[in-house]
Amino acid sequence: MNNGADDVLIVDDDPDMVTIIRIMLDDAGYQVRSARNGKEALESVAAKMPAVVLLDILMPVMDGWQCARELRARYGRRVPIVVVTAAEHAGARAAQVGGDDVLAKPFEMAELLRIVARYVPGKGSGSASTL
Amino acid sequence: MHDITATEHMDRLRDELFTETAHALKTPISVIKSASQVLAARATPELLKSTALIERQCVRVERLVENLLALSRIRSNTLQLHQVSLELGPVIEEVVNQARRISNTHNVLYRPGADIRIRADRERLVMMLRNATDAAARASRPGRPVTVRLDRRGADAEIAVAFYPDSANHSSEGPQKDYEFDDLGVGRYVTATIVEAHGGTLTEEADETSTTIRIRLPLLVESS
Repeated sequence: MNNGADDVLIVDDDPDMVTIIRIMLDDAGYQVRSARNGKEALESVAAKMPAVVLLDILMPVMDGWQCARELRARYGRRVPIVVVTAAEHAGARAAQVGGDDVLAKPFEMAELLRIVARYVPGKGSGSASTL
Repeated sequence: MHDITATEHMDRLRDELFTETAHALKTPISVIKSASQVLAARATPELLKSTALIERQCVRVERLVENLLALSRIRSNTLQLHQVSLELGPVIEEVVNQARRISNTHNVLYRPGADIRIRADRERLVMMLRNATDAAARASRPGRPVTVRLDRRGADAEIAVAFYPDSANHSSEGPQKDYEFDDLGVGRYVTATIVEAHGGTLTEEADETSTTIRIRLPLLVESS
């Protein structure tokens, strides 16, 4: 399930959301970086491939839909995308965006760690995607 | 005619505002809940009481937001069901485990009675089960269990949520429904509407000591 990379890219325009996800992942021993929108995320991925992208949907400059489309066009399935969304029917929404997994807001810390572990080597196998 | 159109327009605007506000609340709830879990991982036993309290209140707001969002969908006839074939037991177990983890006053138990498949919208199913277990835990006497059972009843799956109402609310005039499903009535309305949208029924019954919320949903008929 992993692509050989070892860090997590958080893409979210809400600084508090980025901070709290970063703290939870830092505590669990993950390498973490962040981007404030889809455009920054594409630049970050081009500079270095992450193990997984945690992608918010509603963002300025470039939203999650556009960003996911671009990531798929450029890298196919080599970049796993976890859609982080407050939308109803989050799973269906994530599938529409082309995500590999979904994290529905509000989420539990255990759920975040379980999903990220599926994609980052050496951090546990995690369970199968729910999509 | 003009007035009716204006009223409908205002209703639609209100529903849209309602929906947008409910959506917007999910991110701050998520941040507060996560921050509380981070603190809990480092807290002393004394501080753990406070982090647990923050998390319980976050869950309360989360449920209210979910129900208000569903209510607004129902009012505007935009409630969608993404129904799939699923095994009911594991979904109930997930809801019960979460209720058990969050409750500080009740033990929430699950008694699986049968392997049952139904056709349902998983997200809405979780919502109705959470609403029923929350209602039971809120009205139940502290220290007494809330028991969730799953059984087959004819062509239906029956989920029975049984509890012992708090004697402070109990009437001396014999068996009766002596609790409110939720403070605003939103949770019960939303739950009943979702159950009915799945072709099922929601009923509540009481005897001298206990009350049971029963949700019946049609069993999945496998096509050959």
